[in-house]
Amino acid sequence: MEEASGNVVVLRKITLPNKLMRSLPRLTIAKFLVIGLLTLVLLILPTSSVIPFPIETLLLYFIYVSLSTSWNFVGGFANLLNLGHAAFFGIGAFFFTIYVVAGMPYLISIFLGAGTSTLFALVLIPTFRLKGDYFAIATLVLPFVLETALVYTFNITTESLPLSTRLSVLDYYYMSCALMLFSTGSVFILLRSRYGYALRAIGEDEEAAQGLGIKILFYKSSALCLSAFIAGFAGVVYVQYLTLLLPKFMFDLSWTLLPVFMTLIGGIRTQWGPIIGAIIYGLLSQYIAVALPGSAYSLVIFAVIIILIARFAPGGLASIAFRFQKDIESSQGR
Amino acid sequence: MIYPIILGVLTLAIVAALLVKQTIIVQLLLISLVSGSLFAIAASGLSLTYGIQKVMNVAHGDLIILGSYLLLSFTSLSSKIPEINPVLFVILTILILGISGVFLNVVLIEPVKKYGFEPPILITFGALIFIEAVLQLIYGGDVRGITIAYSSINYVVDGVFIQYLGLVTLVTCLITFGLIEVVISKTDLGRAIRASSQDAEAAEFLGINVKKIQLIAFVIATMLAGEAGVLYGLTQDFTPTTGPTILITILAIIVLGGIGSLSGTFVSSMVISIIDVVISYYVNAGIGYLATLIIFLIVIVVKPTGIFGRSLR
Repeated sequence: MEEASGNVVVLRKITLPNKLMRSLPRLTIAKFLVIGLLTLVLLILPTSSVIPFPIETLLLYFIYVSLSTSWNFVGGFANLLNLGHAAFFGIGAFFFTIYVVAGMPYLISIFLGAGTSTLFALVLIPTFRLKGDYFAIATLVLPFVLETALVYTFNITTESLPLSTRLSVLDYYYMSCALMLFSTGSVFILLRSRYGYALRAIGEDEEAAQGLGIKILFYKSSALCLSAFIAGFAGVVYVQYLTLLLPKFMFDLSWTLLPVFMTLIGGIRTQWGPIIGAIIYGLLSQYIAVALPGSAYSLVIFAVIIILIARFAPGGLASIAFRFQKDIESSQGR
Repeated sequence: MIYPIILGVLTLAIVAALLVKQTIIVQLLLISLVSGSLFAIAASGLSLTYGIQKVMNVAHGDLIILGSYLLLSFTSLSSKIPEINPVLFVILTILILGISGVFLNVVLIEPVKKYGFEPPILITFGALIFIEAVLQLIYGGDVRGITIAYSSINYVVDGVFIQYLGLVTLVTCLITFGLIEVVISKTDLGRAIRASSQDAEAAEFLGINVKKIQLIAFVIATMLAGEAGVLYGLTQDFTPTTGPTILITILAIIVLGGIGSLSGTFVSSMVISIIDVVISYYVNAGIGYLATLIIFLIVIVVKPTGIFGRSLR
């Protein structure tokens, strides 16, 4: 808390260009090389037919990373326990399909789909003045409300996307890659700005943050909107990859479970936690799918892991590592 | 006392409708009375847990469905061994749910309560998915229902139709709520429960073992879930995914009635089931459920303390 508020005060004195420079990570030659190599691997290699490249697996991983990063931004840093991420994911997929089927231009409907998901996040703003568990149960109910309401209003139980808007898997791969870069990048930059410090201050102690003059409603709602936008976009990409909209599947409870699981296992309130968690989840789910066919087994295993983490390491698995780090830091008299 | 009033109003409405020969209205009121009492039992457990322990047990709906599936297994067992009294199965189901409540509270929820409200919700959220997935593995996704000898007994009076099991549900609900009210308002245990729900610290100073009281309340709540599961299994069809659906109706009921208020829970479950039944009959079956959900969202956004609830903050 002290650290965060101190930084808020310091940052106020810095002029805008400096602030922007400061918020960007410093590029050393080593980092430049790593980033260049990664870009080469992620962008160029999929096009070559010489080396077999796991495009579809990576596409799913990118969607997982964006889902968990966006969940962690609200559920971790802003400390708003969101148990309805499936709602944003599902709305993105649902409304994108609606717009495309209605004949809207392809690019516009992509952004409108994700934008609609942001719009629905605004519905939740009045719950911010309540105690935290009210927000949790309001979000828990949201996917069910939306699924029932949307399926009834539009009378859609399955809808395949029109052939004219279908692209190749490679295009969807690039789309999900861009989404992953956007979500991790925006969170990375925002956390190093005044915005991120204010958000973390709210997450750690809301009353103290209010005492410092931080506009709680603005930060919470904007963070939720960004999170909903990313989740909605993930839904848009995923439904295109499936080429078929099944509202029951897109609003399923497991789409809430996944980001929570990935964030908790990688480390809540950390930047790399959701990314590591997504990789762990991806590997684990592939292994389980081979070892025990049937999605119910993997749900059992992930539910047990969530219970164990919440019981024994409430800050996520990374919090155990942090405990050591904090011990070292405090012994050095930081 | 609010129970005689609401029951009196409903009885008067039924009698009045009978007098003017409005058979459909009588039928709808009876159906909503029965489903209202079923959901009142289901919601009372969650209301009790949140009122006393300030823990939102989102697995409550799945505990109810777990009760239904346990009874289903027991009844299929009893067809092989017919000499066992079926009442024993009901008691056994409720007891197993009570034991799972002890496990949930002592092993999982109580140790992490000091970290805030998030870990308990995450744990019960994990339990929700765990129960759903395990039921899916054991029983598959098919729609199930429990058929016993009493299932086919119906009464038709003056064109109005009522199930025998519906009457059983109604009577069980009245007995349950009467018992809870008596225990909470008249006994030492009830006084301790009220004291620790109003101010846990002050209750601790007065020599009340708050943790023990909270454990007792949690176990009572899970046993109520078992009771609701038995009645739900006997009167309705269910699948492993019914749990969250029940949970959401329950949440709507307790938020409307004011979390922690038992009489409010009773009244609002009647109100919600009347709305649900009437809309389902006149408009569309899906819309009745949707109306419940929309009421929930409106109440939680506009007046989160509920219509009958006392101020929470």
